[in-house]
Amino acid sequence: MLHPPFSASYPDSVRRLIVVLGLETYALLLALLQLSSGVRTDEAKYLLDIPYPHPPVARWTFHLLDGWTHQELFWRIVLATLLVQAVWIVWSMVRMLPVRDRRAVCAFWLLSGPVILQAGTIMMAPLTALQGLVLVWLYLRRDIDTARFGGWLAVCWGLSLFTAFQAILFLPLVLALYRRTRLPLWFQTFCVLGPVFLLLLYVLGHPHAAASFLLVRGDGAGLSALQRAMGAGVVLGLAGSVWGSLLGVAGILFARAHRELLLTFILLCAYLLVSAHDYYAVLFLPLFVAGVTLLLRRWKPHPAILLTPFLLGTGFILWTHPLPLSPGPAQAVMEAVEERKAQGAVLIAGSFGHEWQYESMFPIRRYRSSLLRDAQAVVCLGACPDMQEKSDWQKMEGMEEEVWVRK
Amino acid sequence: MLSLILPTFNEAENLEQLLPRIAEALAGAPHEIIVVDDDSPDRTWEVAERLSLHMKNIRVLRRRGRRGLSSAVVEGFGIAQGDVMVVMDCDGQHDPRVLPELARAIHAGAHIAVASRYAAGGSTGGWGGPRLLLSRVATFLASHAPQVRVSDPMSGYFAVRRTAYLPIAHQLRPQGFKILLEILAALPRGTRVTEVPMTFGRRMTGSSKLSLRVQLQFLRQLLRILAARMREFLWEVQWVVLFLLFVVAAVPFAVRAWHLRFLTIDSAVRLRTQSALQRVASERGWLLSDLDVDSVTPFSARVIHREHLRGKDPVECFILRFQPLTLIPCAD
Repeated sequence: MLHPPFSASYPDSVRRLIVVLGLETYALLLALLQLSSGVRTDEAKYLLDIPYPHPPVARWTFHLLDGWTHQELFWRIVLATLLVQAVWIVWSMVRMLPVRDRRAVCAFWLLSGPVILQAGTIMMAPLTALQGLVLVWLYLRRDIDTARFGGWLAVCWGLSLFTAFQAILFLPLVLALYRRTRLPLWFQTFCVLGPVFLLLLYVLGHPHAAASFLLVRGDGAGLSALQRAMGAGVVLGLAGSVWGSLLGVAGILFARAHRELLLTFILLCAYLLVSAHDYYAVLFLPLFVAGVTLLLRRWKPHPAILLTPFLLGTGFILWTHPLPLSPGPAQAVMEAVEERKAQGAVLIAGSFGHEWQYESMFPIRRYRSSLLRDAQAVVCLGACPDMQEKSDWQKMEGMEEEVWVRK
Repeated sequence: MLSLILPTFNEAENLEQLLPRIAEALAGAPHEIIVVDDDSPDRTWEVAERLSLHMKNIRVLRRRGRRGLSSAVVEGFGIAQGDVMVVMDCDGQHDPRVLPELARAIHAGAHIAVASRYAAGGSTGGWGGPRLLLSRVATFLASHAPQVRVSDPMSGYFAVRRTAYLPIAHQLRPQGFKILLEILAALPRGTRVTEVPMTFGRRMTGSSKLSLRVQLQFLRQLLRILAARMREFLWEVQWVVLFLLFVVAAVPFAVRAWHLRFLTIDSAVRLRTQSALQRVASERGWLLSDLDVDSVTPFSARVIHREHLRGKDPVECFILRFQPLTLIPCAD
């Protein structure tokens, strides 16, 4: 099923091993790149199992290791590995194309903006994209008899919904896969809608989940329709490094027999119009890979025509969206506070993200002067006018942020 | 008719001694002998062709560019004309006098008859400690892999009914030496098996082909068979697992949704709860993301405050009364 594109001079297993190791090296590099920028607020939410905005499966799994010093590194490597080694699924998906085109599509996956920028991030969007890729793979591989594992497909569908709400956007593909099985209709309905029903029950029992829907709706509250459309366009361009996006969309639009791909694409675009964050670009990647695959069945361009504009697009995206290579202040501040070996909560004034909770070994509270009695440190990300007057508190030297500790 | 498949590689001397013994054992029974030779350097195929001039029921298949005992057997099965197909080694370790017993077992109704070193009355002959131990370990591992269980799945001496073999022939992956293991893994549950005791003899001439490479091939074959069985098992249990997961998830979700129903059905209670939580969180400096509502009534809410720290999360439970706004620890 999955044969690496080498010459026949090596035995198959050796060739495969070399390719796997090469991909793993690439995944490690991407993970280390993300490591250099430190834990971001969304990542901290998942690493600490904070119960919003997403359902519990992935975040509960991540948090199992939260007592371990290398929790962040471990999960970055695992997630980068999953996203990079997923190219084997892409390779299998394009098996009907000539080897030259197969390699081009795999390069498209590996060198796309979303994979380079998001492999190794501890976010739900890449996980949902991987789940979407599996669905797209099953969808295009009509020779795979999904009826044989219809039950497990339903379990995986449920797990993907309980990883991130946005997995619901791939519903058209799931419906298509079950229609193909020719299982009894009531059974198909149970497999597809049963997990959705469970998710609804979960939302009714978890107010945080409902609140996160409101947050998403509120994301673009002040934007005009044109601004929303432009925001969505930017994310679409990111998804396939522009050229891949154009080819992918063309492939999806012209593939009349694959209307479920088009439906899924429309749903994702509609979601973007509500909330156009850059990290949603990766959700489109499986669809664009499918679109390019379908296009290459009819069109046989030279590889240079396929790859050159794509690589230029990737270069442009990396130039306009550089990865931060240094962490935010939370890590340095909390290390300095820890070194003092004091006890008590850390109060933070102003707006702050969950990465402060992640980097701290002590309870975090919002700054209130009434809480100073039991606190060991105050971090002023906003104004702290009272602190100047506290004679038993002193400002820490050498800190990027304003940090007060007891004398 | 019985078709006896003899896979050979460098067994020229042994073949000359063995064929007359086979003819004696099968005297009177209609049979053919198919020698499948992997283009032996010692020209075993030439010896077989010479012998076939005198023994008309000998057929020779010389394989060029293909190697392997299992694939040789499968090719032999492919050209066999008998309704009972038997496989044995040519090195003298398999006693031809067992052939009629194997044939009798098939004619008595068995789908497959295995000459077993480990059945009652069988023996490994004069094997030393290390070889016997290796064989026992391999046999133990191999006996648990296929659906059809025998005491000696590593035996290279067995008979199979043609009608039992043909439906599974396309599933076989004949690599390495252990074709019986491959056949047992492919046969369905309920296959009728007979075991015939066998004493494993000494090799007449030549050297053993049991190398490290062959042993590794066996391990790979075993893993592949186990993986296939695991897949079959997973396919069988998937619907049970799905239903159980649905029930296990639906019940607690439904219970929790019931306890929080006022947040859904009564906007006044929802606003009251939200406002109370925000006030309490503000007073204590708590983060809203650290607060979870367990149950709600029109007058109060049960609130869990969980500090999300690395390592163990401290948890506190409170009852939040809306009027007047008070927060008291839970009684339990």
